[in-house]
Amino acid sequence: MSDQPVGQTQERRAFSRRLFMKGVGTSMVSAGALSTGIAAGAMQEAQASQEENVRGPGMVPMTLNINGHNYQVEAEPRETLLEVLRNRLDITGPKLVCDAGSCGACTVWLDGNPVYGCLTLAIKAQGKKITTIEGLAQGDKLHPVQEAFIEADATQCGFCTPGFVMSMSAAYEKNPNASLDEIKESVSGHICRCGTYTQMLEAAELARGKIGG
Amino acid sequence: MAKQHTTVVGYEGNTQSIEYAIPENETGLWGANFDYSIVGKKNIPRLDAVEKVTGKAKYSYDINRPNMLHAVVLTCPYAHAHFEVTDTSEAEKMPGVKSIEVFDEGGKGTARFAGWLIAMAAAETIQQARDAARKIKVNYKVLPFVIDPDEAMDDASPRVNRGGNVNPPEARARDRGDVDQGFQEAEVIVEGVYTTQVQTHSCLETHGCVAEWNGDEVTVWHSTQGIWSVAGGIASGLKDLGLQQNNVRVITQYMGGGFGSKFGPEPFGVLCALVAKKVGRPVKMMLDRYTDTVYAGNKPGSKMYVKLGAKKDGKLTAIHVKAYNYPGHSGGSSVAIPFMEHYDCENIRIEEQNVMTNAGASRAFRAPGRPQGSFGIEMALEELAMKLEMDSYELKAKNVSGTTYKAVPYELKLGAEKFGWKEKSKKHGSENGKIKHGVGCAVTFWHSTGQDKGASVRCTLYPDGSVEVANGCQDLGTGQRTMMAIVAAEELGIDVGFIKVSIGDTQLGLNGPASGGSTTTPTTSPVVRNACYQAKLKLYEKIATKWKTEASDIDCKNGTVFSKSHSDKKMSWKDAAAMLRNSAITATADGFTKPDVPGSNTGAYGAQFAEVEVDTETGKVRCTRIVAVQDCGKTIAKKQAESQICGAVIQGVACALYEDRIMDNMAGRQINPNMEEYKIPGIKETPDIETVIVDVYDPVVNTGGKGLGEPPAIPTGGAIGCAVANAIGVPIRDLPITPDKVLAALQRKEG
Repeated sequence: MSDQPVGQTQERRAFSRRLFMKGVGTSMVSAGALSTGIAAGAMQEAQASQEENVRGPGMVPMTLNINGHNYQVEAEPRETLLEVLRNRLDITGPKLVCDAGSCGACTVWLDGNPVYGCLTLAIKAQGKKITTIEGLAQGDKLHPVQEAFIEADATQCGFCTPGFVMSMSAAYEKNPNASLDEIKESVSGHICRCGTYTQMLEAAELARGKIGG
Repeated sequence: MAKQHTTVVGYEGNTQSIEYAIPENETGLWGANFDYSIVGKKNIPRLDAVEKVTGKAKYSYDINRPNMLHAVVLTCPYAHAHFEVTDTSEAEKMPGVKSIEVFDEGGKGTARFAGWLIAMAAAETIQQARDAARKIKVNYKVLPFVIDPDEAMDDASPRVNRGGNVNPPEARARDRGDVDQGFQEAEVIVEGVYTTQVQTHSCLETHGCVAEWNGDEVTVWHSTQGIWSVAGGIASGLKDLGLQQNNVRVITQYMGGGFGSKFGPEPFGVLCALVAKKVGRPVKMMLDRYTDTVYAGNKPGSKMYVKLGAKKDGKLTAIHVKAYNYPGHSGGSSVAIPFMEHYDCENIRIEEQNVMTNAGASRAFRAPGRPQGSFGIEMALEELAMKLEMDSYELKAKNVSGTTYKAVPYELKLGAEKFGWKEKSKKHGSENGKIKHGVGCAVTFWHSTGQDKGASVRCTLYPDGSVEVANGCQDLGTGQRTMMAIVAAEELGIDVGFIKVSIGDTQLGLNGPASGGSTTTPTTSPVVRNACYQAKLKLYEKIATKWKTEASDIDCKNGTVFSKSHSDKKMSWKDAAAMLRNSAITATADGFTKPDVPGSNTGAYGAQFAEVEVDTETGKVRCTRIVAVQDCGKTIAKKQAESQICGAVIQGVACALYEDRIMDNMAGRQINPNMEEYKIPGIKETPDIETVIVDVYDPVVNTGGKGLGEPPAIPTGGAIGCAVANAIGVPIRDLPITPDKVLAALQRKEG
């Protein structure tokens, strides 16, 4: 353990879900640690990973399918998907903001489901189809949610935009006629510091008009 | 040689013709009778919207350079301590580590809050840098500290800095008229103590930069509101290396929020450049969320003792305020302006002091001191209305006055109509039932001063009709690029699609303003016009020769260049530009001349109306609706202006109901330095917001444009506070208005 805290890292070490999951990823978690009220899904995941070969803590090769391309990358097992995307592959659309699953700026799709890139280990994203904001448009044809964000002026500084767009578009992909309340729910895990929500709601309506049946 | 012009100024129902003079190489005011094609009219998409929605926009945080190192900072965990970095050898031996540097000479100093910068580690990966920073050995001698401002005022409390904790020792006073006389004239007096919380900027893109050297030149991609102040700071910070500012290039193409907290190079910016030089590789250092929250600024809290005197009809006779501002270990604040300028009162005394504590230093935060002061004056007026059993809108309307350029009475009235005040207003606390509804209103004012020598703009016309407009400013999310393009397109009489805007780079060699104080539009827009005006005249001279007329006879509108005297002589903008063949026209305008018109002012005014519902069982307050009436002189980019007003309102909702930096007074640290427990409103907390933009044609600059970032961020908290008082019949004088405070207030009321 550390001698000195880096920022609040010492505290975060003890409590953050991500670091816990990082531990799971390296198969270091004992059965005892698992008995402390972890969600069943995480437990199953952890048990499954125990059956895999131990990898790390040094660099390990990974194959990530991102926006339809396979990337071979070497990274530490503790690296999050967001860190590998941004720091190793220069895919910087997903943003690092809270690094704790509170703001949604890092949202990407795993097999079409929006997830926080900062709470997902890269090593665990192997074998899944990863879609980032860079892969949302079909060539030059923007996704209707992207078009709607432009028309409604639903960006100010724009730092949160990729995350909001990924969650809202995922909601419409699942249900092209999603109601405004459903769309609000889909982006309720996101923060826009500039306060562009009014325009995002306008964009949501515009997007439904483009997508809905 | 000055040229005389005439124009029409003012706002709906209150206009007048004026005459003014400006130099011949500058263009005249647009004014109220100008036939606008684009300005304030069309929904022009943000110029960089596609980049932002596709993830192509590269923020400083996104800059990855070949062979780049990643750095992290180590901060002091104690609120007050002598520290000394005693051993970095273990850290230096960690995998991937290339550099360990300290911020203070000799690695020692006194930390005055938990979050003080101590050292920086740079390594091949961010993970390795974090690992290494933890291995830096620091000796701390923990000192007594004080967090609570009330405690800090006690002489026996630990001293935060060398002087006393209350600064200045004698309150600085601002006086108007005779406040004692004013209270003697008063027929009714109200008094209250109002407090506002500390808020953190919580910019989504943290503070930081990437630095890279090429020979003697350093390039810094910095997340900043001021590329020039960063360039100057990096140069002076590294002058011992022989660095001069002509070898410093600062780039900020996209910026993930600043709100007043991102002006300087920052110590880690200088250190980043130093390490990049020493190691010979690019270095990226972006603060982590914790450090950004505790270190990189906050909006000071305040405690305001307010006393108002008034006649029975509600006319104010006196305002006396004793205010304490809480800027942390350094910085300062003032809540005076809303008390002095928002409402008419002849007798005012404001006394203010800062109370220092062992917490992070304050920085400017979107209208420094104003939301605090606005909450104080609006709540005090609300309590006056309660005491007089008056309608609070009527009372407030009675105490504002306007001019041709100050539309606040008009805006207040317009807002009341749009809001449906008459139908919704009711006696304070008169509603029965578990859920109680209330309404409140507030006014706003901000001096959006343009710097007449603050910007140089270059306009280049190319033979294919395309245009580049360039200035050394930056866009922190306001839509600066779009605003400049709209102004250029209007001046040139062409479509926005022709215009490319280049900003955010000191290498343009064009002085530009820092994005702060709502000054960027009034500083840059008139110079954009002047540069375009000068460039088009050069083109018109070529056409004039062909048409055997004068350049002054030629104009361009909707993409058609024409002779004003001979309507048969016309050509498309593209054909006109094609006359340049293989050359281009460049014109650079340096600043602008202020048309010197009596009464003209730089104020942007407005009024906001809030509706809330209060659950008297849970204490939860929901803001359901805001009507925001706002002018920013003549609005240039209408759609972007609406977005900015809504954003300001939502930050106001945050101030009224949610955000609060909570300190542990015993541990000396912030309890919620994150985005989880520090509650920033999300989409579900967003009220229904109606923006009503009023155009006030003020001859302050040739576009009539004033800044908009700050004015609408001022009144929301006060309006919501008043609405809560209206709903439950008892004022809550302490922001944010959280359920515990509501329940306690209701309990006190019931008695």
